[in-house]
Amino acid sequence: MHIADGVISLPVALTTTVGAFGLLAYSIKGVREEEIPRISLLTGAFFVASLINIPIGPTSVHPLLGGFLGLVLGKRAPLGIFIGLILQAVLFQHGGITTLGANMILMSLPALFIYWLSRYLYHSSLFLRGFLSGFLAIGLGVGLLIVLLLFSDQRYGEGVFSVIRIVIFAYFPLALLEGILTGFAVKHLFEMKPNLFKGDV
Amino acid sequence: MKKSSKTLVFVFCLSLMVVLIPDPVSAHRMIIEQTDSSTLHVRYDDGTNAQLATVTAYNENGMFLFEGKVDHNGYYKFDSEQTPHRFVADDGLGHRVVFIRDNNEQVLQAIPLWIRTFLGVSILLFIAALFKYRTRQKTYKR
Repeated sequence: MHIADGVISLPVALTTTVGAFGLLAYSIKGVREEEIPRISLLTGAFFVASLINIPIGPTSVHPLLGGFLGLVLGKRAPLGIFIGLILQAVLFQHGGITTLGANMILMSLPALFIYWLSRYLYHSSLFLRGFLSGFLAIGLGVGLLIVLLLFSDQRYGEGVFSVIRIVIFAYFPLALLEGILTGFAVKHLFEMKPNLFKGDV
Repeated sequence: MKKSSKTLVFVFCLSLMVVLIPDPVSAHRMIIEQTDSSTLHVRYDDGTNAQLATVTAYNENGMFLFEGKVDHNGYYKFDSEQTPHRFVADDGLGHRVVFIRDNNEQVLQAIPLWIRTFLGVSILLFIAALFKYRTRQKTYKR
């Protein structure tokens, strides 16, 4: 779901960059030293996840872990995502520097939404909570991606570039897959290390 | 071994396993390759053909020349007599790549993927270890 350099228009890039700075400031505020090892390790997982490619239909997708980061890191998720995106852009040319803000918003907002939602999913089973987190994070991210693309160029809404294709061909299967992966990850990690979730799950 | 150390070792081993997999897996990025004087191959860097890509050609002055969709295998044949200089491929999913004709060299690709991955993971593990150490030192002092 990384947007490459040159895809979005300058106004959209600037607006999203400003928004991303706001998210980053919110995420960094009040961070304690003892939280940093956990943020770093989860950032590592986010960074490495982009190496797992899954060919779906006419394209290829990879896990994003937005829902998982939202559950585990909570409001610190944007900080981890920011660092992970910089490393991916520099080391893999994945995404881009001018689209860093847009990519951060695409992945951070769903993570924060899952963090907020997790309070209301308290009575569900661990797997279901994980599944919904993974699935909804991708769904929200795709929704944001569609909005950003349409704001950048109306052409994305027409013919060959119709953004409806995004949902049909690529991201719906990914949302299901990520839901299942997150479900299993949350279930097993909670059994192994319950304090990882700080009582939010 | 303490539980936290076990977790750290587990994550490190997992990262190493991913990094050292010899399979040519790589990050998700779109690439254009020129296969002959009038054919381009558009694919993702895991090898999947970018079947949705549309290629747009421009001359040296940046003037639009022509545009077309790749075939099922990600190939696009163009009329070389129109002297296109720059190609832009876009799959409508947020992936876009710019390619200068007859230039297949990419500096970053010269560094093996496992080295780049190892570098990224190492930086993050170093930060994690450093702050874990600092936190422990603080706890002992208290």
